Amino acid sequence: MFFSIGTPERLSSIGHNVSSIADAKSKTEIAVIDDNAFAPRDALLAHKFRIVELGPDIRSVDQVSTYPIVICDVGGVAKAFGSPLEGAHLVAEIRKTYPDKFLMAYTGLTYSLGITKALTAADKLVEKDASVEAWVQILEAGISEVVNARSRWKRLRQALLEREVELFEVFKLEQAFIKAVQKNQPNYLAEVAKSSAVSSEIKDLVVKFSATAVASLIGTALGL
Amino acid sequence: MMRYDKQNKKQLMLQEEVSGLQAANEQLRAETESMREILNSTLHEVRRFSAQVSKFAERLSRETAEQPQINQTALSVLYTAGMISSRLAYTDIELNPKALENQTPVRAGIFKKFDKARRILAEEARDKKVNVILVGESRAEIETLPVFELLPFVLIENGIKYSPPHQTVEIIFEKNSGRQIVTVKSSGPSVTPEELERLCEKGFRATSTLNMPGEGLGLFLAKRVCDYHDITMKLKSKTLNPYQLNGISYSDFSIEMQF
Repeated sequence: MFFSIGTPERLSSIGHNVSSIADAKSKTEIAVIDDNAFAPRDALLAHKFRIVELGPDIRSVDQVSTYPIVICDVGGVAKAFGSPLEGAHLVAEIRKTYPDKFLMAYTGLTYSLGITKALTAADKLVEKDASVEAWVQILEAGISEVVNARSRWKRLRQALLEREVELFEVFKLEQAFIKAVQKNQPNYLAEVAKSSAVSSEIKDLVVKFSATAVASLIGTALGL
Repeated sequence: MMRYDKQNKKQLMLQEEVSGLQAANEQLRAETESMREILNSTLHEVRRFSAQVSKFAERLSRETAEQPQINQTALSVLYTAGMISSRLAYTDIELNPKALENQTPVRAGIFKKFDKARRILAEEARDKKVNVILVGESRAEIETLPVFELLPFVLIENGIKYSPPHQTVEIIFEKNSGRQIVTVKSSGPSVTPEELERLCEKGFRATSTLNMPGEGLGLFLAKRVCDYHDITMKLKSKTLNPYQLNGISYSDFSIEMQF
């Protein structure tokens, strides 16, 4: 038995749909991890996407912490992680640490069941030679998702539930997130997470989300 | 004693046979693995080069907006690279039917796709003195898989290939009960009603086309692509008023697609 005082804020009170995709594009940096020059780069720049090529030598998933969207080649990257699955392993690792990011993987071997299975952590899997239209549509959908505070929280919330965090703790964290966005208090969620009754792994997950995503989501919510 | 000798001999023979089969099996395994590696590296590299071709063609088309002829050629190169990608996407499905589930659908205009295929095939049509025209308009859009590009390409290519010179391939856009209908209409070698039924079978060719180039794959591919997109495809060949040209009987041939 417990008592609750006050009325919980609804998640639907934050995170409205993107009104201007052009504006959202200008605010969203997209990281590309590839051992070759990223072929659709020029075409995507012409479509006003902000592309940042990080090369293949990723040594830690924290190198992508500030990018809400990550595009990752499957072959020839992230060798420092020592996995034969290379890019597929990296995508899975990024997903574990940053469940709120929109992850795209691309490969020449889209027929391979082994590769597609290894890439279940990716939001989208595309062919290496996918058309510019395909890249544009997928990335615009991804941007609409990551600039929306509600969608972004739902991604983290799903990860918390998958890690069997108690529903009541998830609820309290959700309320803290809503308050952080509504009251323009970027650190509030992290503060609540640090004192909540969850494991240190979960605290890290929420603190990282707070540090990398919340400020920009507040900015978008306030139209900054 | 005698019986044991006979049994031992038989056992030895069987063991040798099993060893032989095991060695053959190993060899087949190694060959399959080697083929798989060749296929993987080829698919990977062709896709990489195709992406590079697209990149350069796209850049050229942007930089030559003021020079229509060069711009058109650049766009043709870009669209042709798109056809390579589309064909490889079909290869993916042939290699693993489950690959279809992983292909990302993209919203695309039907009219635009047919116009694109017409542009890729413009030179082929010119060489054959066949006119390809789009009749009507359509703003209808559907969710297309990467293999979709094959459909308009194959149908227009077939129209050009089988038309006698100085004929027209018409791509007609109409609406019927809210559904988009696209009909590719051309003159083609006459086919019997029995042959018409089988034209979408892999490798099947009508008797009247046996001396013409082709492998009987085009309509098979087109039908598969239609199936992946829930498009109904109907083939029609007019048996009335055929005409003869160079010993071949020609009649009106049309393919109607209901989206």
